[in-house]
Amino acid sequence: MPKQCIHTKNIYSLLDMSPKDEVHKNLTKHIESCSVCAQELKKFRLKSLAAQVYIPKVVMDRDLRQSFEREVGELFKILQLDEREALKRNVKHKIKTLDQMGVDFIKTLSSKSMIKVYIIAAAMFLALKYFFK
Amino acid sequence: MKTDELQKYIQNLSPDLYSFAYVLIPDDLQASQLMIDCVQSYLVQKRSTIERMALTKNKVVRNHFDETKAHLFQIIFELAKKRYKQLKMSFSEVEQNGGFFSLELEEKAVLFLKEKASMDIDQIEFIMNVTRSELLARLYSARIKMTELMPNQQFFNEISSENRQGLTRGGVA
Repeated sequence: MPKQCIHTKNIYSLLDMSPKDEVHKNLTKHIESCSVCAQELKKFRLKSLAAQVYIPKVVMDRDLRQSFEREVGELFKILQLDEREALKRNVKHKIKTLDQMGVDFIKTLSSKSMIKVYIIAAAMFLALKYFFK
Repeated sequence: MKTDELQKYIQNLSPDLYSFAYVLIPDDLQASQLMIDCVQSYLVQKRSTIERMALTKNKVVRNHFDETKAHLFQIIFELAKKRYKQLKMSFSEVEQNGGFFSLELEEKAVLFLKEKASMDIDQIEFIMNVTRSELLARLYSARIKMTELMPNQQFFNEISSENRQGLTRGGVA
């Protein structure tokens, strides 16, 4: 009967774990002293390496590539993603912000609370003027 | 002309984007449509970032290009997840033939990104929007399934590890 180890099921994760990981360090230490796990890891590495051949990396057809490049170009044009347009929009946005600030300033000057302040100030001015006469 | 650079960068990414799209939706026309939709979605989503990028310094642009690839892969994966169920019937034959294409969508994605696109775990985590533990579990189950699906399984079992030591020294980890 083949030898078994309770840690064998965990050693497969070694392939994807970061070496800085604490679990990785512990498992590596364990493998140094356990021939069953060491053998199993070696087998699993080999199998994974061989399995890579069966993961496809499909090459793109030249026509498809050209059509994709054309479509991307069109998308950039439609969305007007060029510097000049971006600059225009940026300037417009800044002017709009300044404009809004001016409107807000005038609104504040002509608000009810400010009118009260003007009246009080005028009254004080007249009172002081009368007092010092 | 930074937006021109971005356009060229995206156009040059087409082989990588296509192979990933094909892994998820194994149909050439659907895969290329997926790529176009992904770029369109990216440009709409990131429009303000691209406009800001067009008015900033070159160093910032470089960083932005690096992020672009991961974003595009992420959008492809999201779109493929939505379309997979609707389109499943059209490529059921490919899946029934067994091998890599018979794996689950997430397993195919994680295996491809790790082994063929050579991405690190952090990038895959971002693309698939899963936690690290979920990702490692997916990767583990995908590897196990893949080794089980491999033809000549016996062949690999019979080969003594000593004969193949040279191969392992290169390592895949």
